[in-house]
Amino acid sequence: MKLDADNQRLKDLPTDAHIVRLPKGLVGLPELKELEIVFKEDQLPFMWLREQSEDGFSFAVVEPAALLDSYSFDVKDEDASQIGIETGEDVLVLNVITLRDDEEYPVTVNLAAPIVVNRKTRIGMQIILDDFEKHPTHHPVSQIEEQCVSCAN
Amino acid sequence: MLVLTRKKDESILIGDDIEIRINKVDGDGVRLGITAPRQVPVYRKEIHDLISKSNRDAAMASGKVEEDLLNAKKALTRAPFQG
Repeated sequence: MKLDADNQRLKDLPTDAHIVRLPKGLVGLPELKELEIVFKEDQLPFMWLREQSEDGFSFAVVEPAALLDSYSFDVKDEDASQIGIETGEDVLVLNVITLRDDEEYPVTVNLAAPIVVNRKTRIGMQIILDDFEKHPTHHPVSQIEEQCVSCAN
Repeated sequence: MLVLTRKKDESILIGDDIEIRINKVDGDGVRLGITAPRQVPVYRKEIHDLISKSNRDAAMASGKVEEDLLNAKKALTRAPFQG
């Protein structure tokens, strides 16, 4: 199934990329098991989570703390043990951003299915949260937090 | 799709490790008990489809040139979303 007809590689992104391994890929895209995180300073807090291959997929992602006052969720024990995390400090959270041709809400973030990554091992998984009311898949992003916690990294 | 008829308290095995048991039948609804290895995710289909679609939509859009991401960043500093 060809999903990336218009995909263009971002060839000039910096090489300080970090490899993330998702043993189960992303929901609906289980083949995406190895992705890299890259970013450009002037695009922060947005970053790219992308396949390393020339024609691969890329996703705009963001650490939710950069956008939202409070976003918290529970990670089920079986999920936590699969990626070897024990506390919140072990975890890097990335939420997928959808960019749309929508004047009013061009940027939305998927709060319903965060990607949680073990900071040390860089192994992660996308988990689906229970409460869709609180965590919509397309939450409009309108105002950036003053303190960009992801910018320092 | 394989179609089977099961009664309450009967089970289906998928492979050697996955069991689906009919715990309760109540009108149009069925309560299922699912036993699967920890690493096998179990989803309600409509929710899986929702997230799956969201991921795919994001993948297509993210394939556009980085200019879109810069526009997105500008959109962040607009007036807050009401409601």
